[in-house]
Formats: sequence, C-alpha cells, structure tokens
Amino acid sequence: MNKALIASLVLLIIASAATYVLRPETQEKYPRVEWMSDSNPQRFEQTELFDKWLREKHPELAKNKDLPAFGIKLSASNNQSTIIQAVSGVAGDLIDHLNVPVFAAMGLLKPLGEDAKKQGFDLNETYPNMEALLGYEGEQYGYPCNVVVSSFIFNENTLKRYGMSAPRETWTTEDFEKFARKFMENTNQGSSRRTIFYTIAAESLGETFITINVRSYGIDMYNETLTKCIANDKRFYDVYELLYKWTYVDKILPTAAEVASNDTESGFGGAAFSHFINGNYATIIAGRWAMVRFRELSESERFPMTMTLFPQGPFKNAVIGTRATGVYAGSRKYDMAKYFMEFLASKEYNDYIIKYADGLPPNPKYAIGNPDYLSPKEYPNEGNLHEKELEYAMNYALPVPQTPYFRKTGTSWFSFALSKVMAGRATAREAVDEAVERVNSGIAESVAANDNLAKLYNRDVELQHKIDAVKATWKYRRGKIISGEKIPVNWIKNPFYKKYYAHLGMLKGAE
Amino acid sequence: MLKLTRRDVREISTGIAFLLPNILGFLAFTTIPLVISLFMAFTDWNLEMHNMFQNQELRSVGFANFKKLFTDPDFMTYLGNTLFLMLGIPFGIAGSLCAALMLNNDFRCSKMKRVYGIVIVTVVLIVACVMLILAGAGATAMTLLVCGIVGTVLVLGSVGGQTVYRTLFYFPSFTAGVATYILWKKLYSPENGPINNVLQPILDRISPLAASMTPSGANLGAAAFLVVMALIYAYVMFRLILSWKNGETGSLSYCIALVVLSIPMACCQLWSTVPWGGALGLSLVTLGVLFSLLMFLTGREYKCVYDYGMANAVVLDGMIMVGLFICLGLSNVVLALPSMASGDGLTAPKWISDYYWAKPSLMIMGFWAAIGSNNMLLYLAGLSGVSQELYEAADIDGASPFQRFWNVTWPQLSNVTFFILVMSIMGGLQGGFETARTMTQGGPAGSTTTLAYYIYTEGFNSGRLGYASAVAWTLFIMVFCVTLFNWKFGNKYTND
Amino acid sequence: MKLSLDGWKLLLVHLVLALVATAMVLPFTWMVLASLKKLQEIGLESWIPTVFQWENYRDVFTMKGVQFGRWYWNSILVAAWVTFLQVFTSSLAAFSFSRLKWKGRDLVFLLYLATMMLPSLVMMIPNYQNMISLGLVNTLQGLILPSAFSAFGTFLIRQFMMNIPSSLDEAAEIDGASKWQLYWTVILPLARPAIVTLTIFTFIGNYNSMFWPLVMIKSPELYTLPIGMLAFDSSQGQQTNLLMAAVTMSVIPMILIFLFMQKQLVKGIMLGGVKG
Repeated sequence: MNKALIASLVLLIIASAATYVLRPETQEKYPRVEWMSDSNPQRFEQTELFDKWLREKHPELAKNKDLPAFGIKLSASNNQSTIIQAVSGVAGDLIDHLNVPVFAAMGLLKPLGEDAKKQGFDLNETYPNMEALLGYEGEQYGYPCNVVVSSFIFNENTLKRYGMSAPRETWTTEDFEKFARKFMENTNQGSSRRTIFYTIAAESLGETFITINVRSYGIDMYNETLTKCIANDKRFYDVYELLYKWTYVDKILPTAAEVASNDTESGFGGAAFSHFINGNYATIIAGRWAMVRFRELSESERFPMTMTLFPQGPFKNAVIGTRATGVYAGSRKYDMAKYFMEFLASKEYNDYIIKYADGLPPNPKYAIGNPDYLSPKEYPNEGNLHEKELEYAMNYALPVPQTPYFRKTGTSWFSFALSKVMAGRATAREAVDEAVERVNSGIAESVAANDNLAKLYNRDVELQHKIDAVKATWKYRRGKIISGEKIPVNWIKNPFYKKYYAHLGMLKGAE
Repeated sequence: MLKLTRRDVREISTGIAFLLPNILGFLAFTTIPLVISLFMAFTDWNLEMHNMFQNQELRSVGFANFKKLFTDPDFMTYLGNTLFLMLGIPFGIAGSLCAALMLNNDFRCSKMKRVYGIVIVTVVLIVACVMLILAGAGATAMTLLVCGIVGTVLVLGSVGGQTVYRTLFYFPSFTAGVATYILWKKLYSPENGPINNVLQPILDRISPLAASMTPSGANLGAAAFLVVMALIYAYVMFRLILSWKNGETGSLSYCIALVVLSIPMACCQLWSTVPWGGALGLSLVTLGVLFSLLMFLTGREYKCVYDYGMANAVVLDGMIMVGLFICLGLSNVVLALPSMASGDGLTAPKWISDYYWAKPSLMIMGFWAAIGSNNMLLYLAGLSGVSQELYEAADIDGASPFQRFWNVTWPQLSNVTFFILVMSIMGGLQGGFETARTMTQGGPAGSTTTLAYYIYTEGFNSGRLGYASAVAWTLFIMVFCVTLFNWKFGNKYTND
Repeated sequence: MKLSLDGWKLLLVHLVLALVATAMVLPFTWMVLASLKKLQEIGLESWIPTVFQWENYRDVFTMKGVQFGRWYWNSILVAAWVTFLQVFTSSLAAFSFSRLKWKGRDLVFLLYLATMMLPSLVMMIPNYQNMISLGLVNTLQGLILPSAFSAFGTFLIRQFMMNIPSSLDEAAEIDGASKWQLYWTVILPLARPAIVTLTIFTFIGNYNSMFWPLVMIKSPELYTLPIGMLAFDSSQGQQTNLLMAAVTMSVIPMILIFLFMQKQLVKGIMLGGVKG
C-alpha cells in the first residue's frame, strides 16, 4: 500500500513535469496572438493566410528573417462561456462571434479609435449603418470577419417545375401572398400530406421578417433613443396576425408539425437547406454564405438561383448581421492584435471570403465592381445573388433592433410571443403586449441595478423628451409629414430612425 | 471554562496535525466559499458591473434577490421541471428492487445441471429465432444480432450466475457521464435515430387501426382509463384505511399518502379532456378526504406511532401517483388518437427535441441507468440481511410468493428504502445539470432546465452572481429540509 | 440469504434477467457498431456496418480542432492527481478521527460531516472567484485543487479504520512507534480495502466530472474528456460515426476499471452506503 502510494506520487510528478515541459507554448518559436473563434476548418486556413499576409505587408515587424514576427493561434471557444472567461481575465487576445455593445458596456474590449483610422479598419471601411454592431457610445470596438444580409433565395428549377417565374425583386406582402398561393395551387397536393412548401415555417421567418415588415411602415421595436420598447402598436399586431393567417388560413407556410414530419436531415444549414435543394421549398432565407453548402453539390445537382428582398411596405430595408471580432481589454498583445484587424480589412482576406463565399467580405470596396465577386465563373447558377446581396447591404441594410438597457440570453420575448400566437395560445395583441411589458420591465430592472447604465439611460430619456417635443410639431396630411421641425441627428441612437427620418427629410446636423 | 492539561494540548495538536492537510484544503475550497456565497446572495453582484475591467461599488440589496426569485415565473417553471423529473425516482427504486430480488435467487447448481441449462437455453433460443422469423420480423441481421446478444447473455449468465448479470446491470450507471449522454442524444435522434427507426414502422402499422377507431370507441377507451384510475384510487384508499385501522400505518404516513394520491385526481380537473373527468376526480378526492376525517373521528383499536411505515408509504404512493398520472395521460391520448392518426398517421415522438417529450425522455434514460445502480447493490445487501426464519415461518403459513414479499421482504427492507429515497431526493433536487447541458441545452423552450442548470446559466452565462447565489441557497434550504426529515425519521430505520 | 428455485422457474428468471441485461447493453452495442460505420450508413435501420471502418478511430485523433489524445491525457492526469491527494489527505484525517484520541475530536468530526450534505452548486460560484484571485483559471491545477479534499473520503476511511482492533495501536506504542509510524506502517496498510474503494470512486467521479472543467478551462489543449466531448459534439457532431468512436474510447477506461475492480467496488458500496 505504502509503496503504491509513493510510486504513484513519483509517477504523477514525472507525468506532470512532462506535461508541463511539452505544453504547446513551449513548442512555439515565435509569439502567437490567440484568436477565439469556432473550429470551422476555414479558420485554420485563415490563420495561415494571415501569416503570409503579415510577412508580405509588414516585413519590418519581423526580428528574424526565418521566423514570422508573430502568428495566430486559433482557440475554438465554447461560445457560452466567452463572457465568463473574459470577465475573469483569461479570454483570448481576439474575440470572435462578439456582441460588441454587450462586451463593450462591460468594459471587456479595447477601443480601437485612432488605430482603426490609421491602419484602415475603421467604420468607413465597411458597410453603412454598422456602428450599432461594431461600436458602443460612439467608440469603435470591433471589425467584421464577414457580413450577411438575409434575403429570400429562390430555386428557379422548383419555380419552373410548377410553371412560375421568379418574382419581382421588391415586393409587398400582398404580392408575396399572391405568389405563394399560386405556387401552392400549382403544386396541386390536394388535401393529402403535403411535402412541397413555398417556404420555411413562420417561426423560422421569425423576428427578421417581423422587424423588416414593421420598419417598412415606419416603426421599430424600440424608440429613437432605445430607452423603451414601443412594439405595442397595430403594425406589430398585424404582422403577427399575418403570419398566423398565412400558416393556418391560407396554408402557404408549413405548420411546425408539417416541418417536423418532413425533416429528415440536420447538419450544416439544417433540414431547410436539404428541402431547398430537393425542390421541396421554393425559397429560403439565407445569404451568400449558404453557397458554401450549395457549392458542395455536383455540377449536375446545381440549380439556378435568384434573390429578392423581404416583402415589405414603402420604406425598403433589410437586416444586416456580422461576425464581429474585437480585441480583448485584458490582452497584453494589443500591438500585435490590431494587425489582425488590419488583415480583416485587407485585400487578401476579402478575396479569400469572396472566393469561398463565406458571406459578404468585410470591406465592400473589394467586392464592388469585382467580377470575381459579382459573377463567379465556376458557378453561373448563382445568378444575381452576389450582386443583390451587396446592393442590399449598401442601400437598405440596418442592424437588428437592440437596446443597451436590456439583455436577454436565450429566446427573445418576441420570438416567444410568435410561438404563442402560432400555437393559438394567445392573440397577437395579447402576446405582443406581454412581450413589450416584459422588455420594459427588464429595462427598468437593469437600469435600477446599474448606476453607470442609469446615467446613460437618464441622459437618453432626456433626449427622448426633446425628440418627442420636436415630433409634436409635425403636421401630417394623408399619412405624410408636410411640415415640422427637424431632429438633430446626434439625438437619435436607434440606427433605424436615423435612416428613416433622413429618408423623410426630418433630420438635421448635429446639435 | 474548559481546562486543558498539557497532555490534552499535545494530543490535540497531534490530532490536528494529521487533519491539517485535509482541513486546510477544506477551509479554502469549501468553508470560505460557502461564507462568500451566503454574502453574495444578499448583494447585486453582477459580472456586468463587477469585473476586472469595471469596478462599480457592490451594493447590498437585502432580501431583494430572494424576493425576485419568488416572483420570477422562470424560477417557478424550473422548480416545476426539477420536481417533474423527480417523479421518475419511485420507478427507479422499484426497478432496483426488482433487479435485486431476481438476482437474489440461488444460481449455484451442479455441473451437470449447468450443462442441461445451457442445452435448454440453446433450444429456447433457436425456437425463439424461428418464431421471430415466422412472425415476419424477418431473418434480418438485426433480429439475429439482438437474439445473439440475448443468447450470449443467457449462456454467460447460466455459467457465471449472479456476477454476470450484476455486472451488466451495473454498467450503465457506472459509465453515466457526458459520453453516455451524447450516446443517448444520438439514440433519441428524431430522424433516423435507432429508437425511432424501430418505433416508426410499428406506429405505421398501428395508425390505420387507430384511424379507423370511431369517436364513440375513443370516448369509451378514454372513459375506461379514467375508470381504472378511479378504481385504483378507491382500492388504495380502502387498503390504506384498513391498514390504519389495523395499526399498520401511522397517522402522518396516512396523511402523506392521502395528499400524494389525491394530486393526480385533482389534476383531472386541469388536464382531463373527458368532459366529466374533472368532476370525477374532484368528487373522489372529496370522498377520500371525508372518509379519512370520519375514520380519524371514529378512532382505531390498534395504535402505532404516527410515522410508522413512512418510507414505504412515500415510495409506494409515489409509484401509484405516477401510475395514476399515466392513466390520466393515456385516457387523454386515447381520446385524441383518431384525430392524431388520421392524415399523416402516427409519428414517432421527437424525444428530446419536443417540448412535451423532453422530460419523459430524460426520465426514461434515467430509469435505464437507475435499475442497476448502487441502489440495486444496497438492496442486495439488505436482502442478505433478511432472516431466513421469517421466510420459513411464512412458508409454513403457506404464503404465496407475493404474500411472502409483501409481508416479509418489503417491511424488512424499509430502512434501505428510506435511505435510498432520501439520497435520491437530494440528488434529484440538485440534478439535471449534466443532461441539460449535454443533451438539450435546457430546452426546448426551457422544458428541461432544472434549478441546477438555471444556477449555471444565471451565474456563468448572464453573470448575475448575486441572484444565482440566492437560487443556490434556496436550493440548499430545500435539500436541508430533506436532511432534517432524514434526521427526524431516518434514525429509526437505520438503527433497526 | 438466498432463495433457491427449481428448474423451470430458474430458467424463467434467467430469461427475464437476460432480457433486461440486453436492454442495458443495447445502447452500447449501437455505440460500438455506429463507430465502425461509414457516415452515410449511420441513419440506416441496420445496425451492422457493411464495411468495418476501423480508421474512424484513427481519424478521431487526427481531426482538426479535436485534440483527443491530449484530452485523454489531461483527464487521466487530473483524475489521478485528485485521487492521490484525496486518498492521502483523507486517510490522514481519518486516522486522526479514528485512531487518535483528543478533546473535541467528535465535535469536529460532526461539523465536518455536516458539510457533506451541502450542495456543491452553492460553492461553485465563489470557488470560481477564488480561482480568479489565485490566478488558477484555465490551468490544470485549478481543476485539481478544489476537488482534492473531500469529507466523503474521510468518512469512508474512518468508518473502516474504526473496525481495526485497537490492540494493534497498543502493541505499536509499546514498541515505541510514533503516531506517524503507527499510521504509515500499521494502519494504512490495513485500511487497504477502504482506500481501494475510495480510489475507484474518486477516479471515476473525477474522470466524469464536467461542471468544473466547463467553467474553468478555456484553452482546447487543457480540455478534459467530458468538455472535449461537448466541444466535439457541438462543432463536429454531425459526424456521428467519429463521435461514437470518441465516446467509445472515452468509456473504455471506465470499463477496464470496472471489470478489474468489480469485487472491491461492490464491497465498497456496502461499506460507504453511497457513492460520493
């Protein structure tokens, strides 16, 4: 017994020593900047690309000719615990899949400020209206790795099979409904178990559809200063009711049960992609990134595609999203990490994204007018989709509604409300009102708990009063504003209203 | 005033010296954290405001965290989930007991008999295979595989006896961990998972039958289940009253039984889809309570202590309660069956991806692991302690095997049962983290989020450490109540 | 006592037991068979692979982003350290609680026991803060230290040591042995069964533990198997065959321990009443 104990102690010490000596850091000949991302195989290629880029663009940094100045170490993070690691001081130097406003508000990110301008990765080097996704309180904290503007992609073969042709690019919900009805009629499935559908279920259309729709009629989830949820509005109720009607009355969208009984495959892109490929769905919501999946198909399986905006009202808009990267505030390698941000804005990285169709490149200037981007030779079937997504990003895109005063992890209350409406457990008005109530009490709660937040909040509420006073001077005729004072642009925090009021001509310079 | 002699001091210091390595670690990693945690529960500690990069003042919030907890609908839902998942406990215990009872047989036999045994087993297997093939299951590799496994186990079992079975039974609980949870996640996969691959063809065969059922047939079926439920309730209440009168059950045990059994009947009001289901449930509960009152008023001849038969009452009643719930569920299912089966036909459940099936799925997996767990071993040990004389006496009285079990084995095991029950409840209250994190992420829609998982997400995802600590301490108080219960009643059993 | 049954009844019992045992084994059978399939065959009704893909096992080790070998090593190293420290410190403490007589001993023991029923969840959050201030977050030491001291282990070994006859102590004392010598040369060797039991429990418990590594470890090269498997499942989980190969391999050490230590284990459970 005693011998066993002593022997195991000796063994353990030897094993630990070996582990310590052989730890990965000791095997590295040059410093590495740690990049917390996912373990997508493409990330490994991107780190190699960075090494090459750094050697070519910044040879001055290398101290030794044979070794690069520094490299990137990929650390696949489990997204759930990124925050907890960051607050405890052990996050990687570069953090990916970031919710910038949340991280920045917690003080976890380095402001990029001057360096961004000097090295060419500031907000001007990416798409318009991205401040809300990449910054907080007027300071930039992140830069995108890739960008997506979700839109409807049609499988033209499927449309043709049922005697249809692609719809117009901008369309209203009425057009959408008419088109979908015709499609469902043409599929002629009678009352038997349906397997062919126009598109995905209402629950999956979800918040993106709702947001775009209500914004097109001039209202957003939050007010101009993001201090209050104002979704208890007829325009919101209507769109919830519309989704219900499409599913259960018009039967142009599959019900959740129908989706469940038809799904046979999950994996990258999920079952919806497989249905889209097989011609069971005429259209899905996706972006250019989906081509990563569709290019896996053999040449004979490929099908022509076309892209349209979401169906909507008069103010055309789309939702833009991004996988943002920022520099961790606890990083001791900021000087190295900022070169990675420069890399993300560089031609080499953008060309890589363009080539692999992993979303829109972060820096639009490499896509605009670039034939490799607009019409890739190998994939003529992809049609107008590269061009269109870029166009939407430049002209219509706005970030999803988000307020710094309320953060909910998990399902959002508005998705929850949608699932309630779809399950028939509440009317649209009840469900939405409940969500609004929840969000507003959430705002009140987090403001009461956090003094720093309360300061900002009170400042913004003040602004909101001023905005409301200005808006009270507006005079309408037939739903159009005919006269009234203009609002100073710096009063408005909500990117949607900034764009919308500019569109209405009710915005003036900073005050 | 405590006086210490020199000798005392020397002895104490030696004693403490030996303790020191353990106690120091214990202080650092258990005691101090405990104190901090209690302190945290009364503050607004939030990683958003209090972290390495942002140091706002920590505020004491008094009981606000606890107050919030009781008004938080999420907390109540998750507490409900935790309790729901614990409904599997009585079945797990019963499973362990059955396994132990079967393993308690004497498998030793002479060499000759063993050879006979193997011959018989082989014949039975061949016959079974032939019958399977005739029955249309087909001579597929799958049938052969399953038969092969059964056969191997049988042969091994008849050679190795108890040890082989015990090993195989114990295996799932021994290996339970992330790896086996991932395995089950794949087994439960709604599309092409092995479970649904087996289930769907069977359901496809039943579908036409179910669809052809007339509404009146469905009504009748649903009613039958409700009647069965009512009969079970009435019979158990009758037995309870009798045993109280005979002095076999204490008053406290009786009251617990009454409450536990009445829950499903009362739930008819909420959940039964048969129009008169609610009324039936309520009237039965009323009758039960009335009879009990009457019974208490009239008194009894043979008295016993008020908590006599507690452990058995809780386990048995728990099982019957779950049984009643199952009856209720079946009655609803039968009523809805024709409409479910028409159209698409019956589809196999989506298991852990389905809001309503997720919890039962986890319970089924838990049952699989629980049958052969430590509980089975504890029961085996308990069984070896039951005195032979009692059995002999029972045999002389000409007791049937069931009577023998009911009157000898079960009461003799009550101390083991009690211990297992308390431990399972404590484990159940704190459980569900690993399965939730590995298999369901607490979903769908929070249906498998238990308190443990809630503490994790609140503390380590949302960063609300103060609130998470408050939840943890509330949980601790619940566990503590169970411990108190154990202290109060446990000694009686464990010291038997 | 055991019941004896006659032929046919015994056969019936055998059959029932065999069926239940099969139900216990079937998931594992599927696991092993699925780990040998091609990915395309996974969803098929037949469990048996058309071609046995043994290279799946090799592929697990060479997959990008999955450092399976390292995770294996970390798991075993951490579990071994925890086990060693627990056995050593617990046996010392148990010795003090059972073989030494000192004032206040039983009171301390009671207090000590009382902490056994604390839910570990309560301690997790402050312990994490602890680790931050000690700078042990994202290190293997940070995994080892908090689990290295347990009241359960002390309790288990103490119960056993109590039953060692006290005449041995007296004999040793007459020989002029110090307390340490008494512990090291007499009591510790005699407590072997309890120590083996504790070793198995601690090792398995730690090998399977998931919560603590999940919050503590960030770098993939420091993952232990449970969180490694989680990461594997969430990033490459569609590759069911490889995943099952990994699951199979991570279960193997437990199977080995179980098969070799079965007798000790069963005895230990009777001794300790419950697994820690």
